[in-house]
Amino acid sequence: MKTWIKWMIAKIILIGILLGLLLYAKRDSTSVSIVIAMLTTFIVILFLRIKNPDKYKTDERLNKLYSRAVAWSWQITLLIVLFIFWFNYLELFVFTVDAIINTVFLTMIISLVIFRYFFMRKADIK
Amino acid sequence: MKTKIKELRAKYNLTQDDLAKKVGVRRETIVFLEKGKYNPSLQLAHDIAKVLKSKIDDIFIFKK
Repeated sequence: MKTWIKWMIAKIILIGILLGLLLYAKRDSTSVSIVIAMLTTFIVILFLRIKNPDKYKTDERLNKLYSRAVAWSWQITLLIVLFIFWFNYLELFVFTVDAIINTVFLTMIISLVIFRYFFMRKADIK
Repeated sequence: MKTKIKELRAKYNLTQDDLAKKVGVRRETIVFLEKGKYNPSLQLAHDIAKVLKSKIDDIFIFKK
């Protein structure tokens, strides 16, 4: 079995376990909606990867560019966390735990998508 | 950096896709290598040299 398929299955199982815990902890329509949305997304991604394996194949160049994108995404997320800390400390803005988690989560995903798009268009990085 | 990948590829009747599959990279990587815009790892350079039956120094030319 190809390596990426094994990783995909492992990720799905891990996320399934985490989502199972989430559902157990908080039984409401939001949790169920999140579970359905994420499961659907993963099934679609898996289907696309199986159907077009060459399109999603990575090599050393793409791995290098993707690592740089992840690094930048983490730096932006860290900056956002820093802002949240100081806003909270100076009582400029009151954040709930849910708001912080959602902000950090969305920042990570959106910044990763943006930086990945930016870096994947480059030939190489130094 | 300049490369002679294109010339050597033509010599052995290999397309960019053929070479990419032989060395285990995407076709876009070969494109960028031929243009001299991507610096390959030593492993990749060695694999390309092996496929094109040449030495690394003969394929990748670094300008000073």
